[in-house]
Amino acid sequence: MEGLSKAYDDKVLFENLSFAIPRGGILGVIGPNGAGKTTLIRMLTGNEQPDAGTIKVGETVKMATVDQLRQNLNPDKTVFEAVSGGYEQIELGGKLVNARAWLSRFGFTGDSQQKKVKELSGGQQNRLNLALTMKSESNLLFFDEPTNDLDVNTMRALEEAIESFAGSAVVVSHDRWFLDRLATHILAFEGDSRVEFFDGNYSQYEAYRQEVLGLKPFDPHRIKYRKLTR
Amino acid sequence: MAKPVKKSEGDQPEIIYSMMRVSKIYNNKPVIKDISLSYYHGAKIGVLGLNGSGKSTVLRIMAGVDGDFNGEAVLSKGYTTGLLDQEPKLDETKTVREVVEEGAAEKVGWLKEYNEIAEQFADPDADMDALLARQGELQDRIDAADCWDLDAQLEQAMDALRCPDPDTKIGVLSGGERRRVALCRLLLQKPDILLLDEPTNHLDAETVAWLEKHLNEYTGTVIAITHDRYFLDNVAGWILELDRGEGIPWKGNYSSWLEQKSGRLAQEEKSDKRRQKTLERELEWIRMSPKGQHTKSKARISNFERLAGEEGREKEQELEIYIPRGHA
Repeated sequence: MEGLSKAYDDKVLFENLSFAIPRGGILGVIGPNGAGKTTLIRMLTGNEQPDAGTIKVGETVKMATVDQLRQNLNPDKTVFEAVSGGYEQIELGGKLVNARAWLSRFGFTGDSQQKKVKELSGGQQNRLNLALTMKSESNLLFFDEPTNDLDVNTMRALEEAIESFAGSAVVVSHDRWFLDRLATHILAFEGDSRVEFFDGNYSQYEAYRQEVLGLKPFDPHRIKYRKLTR
Repeated sequence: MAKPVKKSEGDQPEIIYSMMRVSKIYNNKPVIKDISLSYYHGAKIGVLGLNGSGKSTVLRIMAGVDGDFNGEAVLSKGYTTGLLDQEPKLDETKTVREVVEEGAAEKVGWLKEYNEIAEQFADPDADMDALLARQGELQDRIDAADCWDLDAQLEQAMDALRCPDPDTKIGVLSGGERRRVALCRLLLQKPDILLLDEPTNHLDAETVAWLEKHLNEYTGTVIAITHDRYFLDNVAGWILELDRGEGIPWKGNYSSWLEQKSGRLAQEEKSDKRRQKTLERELEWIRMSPKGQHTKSKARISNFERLAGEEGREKEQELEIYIPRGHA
């Protein structure tokens, strides 16, 4: 990304933002709600245009997104049908895998595979989203708050899955532990339309932020945008 | 401080809440089964368990909002509880400031009355002696509570939790914003037992770090259902694991809980070996120095070719969840 800028109405979300995701890199995106994290992801995935700047995508890159909500999911289908299309075997990375076994890795065992999509709790929907997106055989994955409503076991397993994933990932998350285990780089929305790109994990960024940027620890303040006009 | 029921002995901390053989059945299914636990004053407890294991039910019973259960649940005399629900119910017509002020209702009342008395002095028919006496009383209370600058204190609390603008009506707020407002009000109330159901959901990392520090210094008991492993590791002195309705207390933080859990799984014949290895690898990571942790995550960039090759495929087999690679 080179020189990205984006504003909504009179709010500047970011200005002249440049960074690159290396092959194999895992970029953790942090910052308060409404600071522009989701907008940035939408730009990287080509769903929104920047006001200025360019986004270059490598030729072999194939992207997939784990959304908070999947609109195209039929609420009357069962969990099993949603993931397998009704077949006992699904193709994953060129291999045939038993669909029920795959679902059980996401915490859907026995009866819960027959639950309808509309009957799922928030955490279960989140796990189903993961099971679906991970089928997609991409090499650049986007996650928007994947850990909300997940239990610690699933989070731990997801961490290892991303860690061993033969590709790159962009992860919007508020979970410090998750970011520390995974992130090779951090993109931090600091308010006042300020965005920092950092080479390291969350804890290292926090230390850098206090020492070098002089921002106080444990002192969150409301998010403010630089106004375009007075 | 969750512990199988036992009379407190010697210099044990005071028991602030006890549950005796508490069970709950909902729709003919047991939600919690026969839980007997005592909670110490000042204990910091993290609650773990899968969805549907009865975590929220235990908190709702302790908060006194769910009275439909069998067994005995007793809050020790003179103590208060306060609950942050997953979806807190707030008055839609009020503003953010009005809801937050409810958390300091008594203090707001003193200041309001104090100012009203000042106005009544202008009335020639007023009973000056009575007014002066009442004013002095209020002054002492406000001094003792150190709340002359209550507005600034509330403003600071709202700022710390990144609440929306104080004049915003609750009705227009998102679910995450409502939780911030409800949490702000609850922390200002300072109940003796703070019951938190997923307090970090929808909070940003910086606010979570702030909350961790605040809860660590909280003088009362804190019982939090959370998947925030830094809270569980740095603040919690007890882990209460709920498994299919049963409560299993563990004295120690997240790391020590992982250790015993992994050891127990290793001994069980029929246990899930992948799960057990996953616990072991997390423990390994915890024990690394910060520098080692960093080197480990960075290694995936320098070793990318290996990760994308046969070595990565072999590793896939050992994982609970894996992400199939694309045909790049």
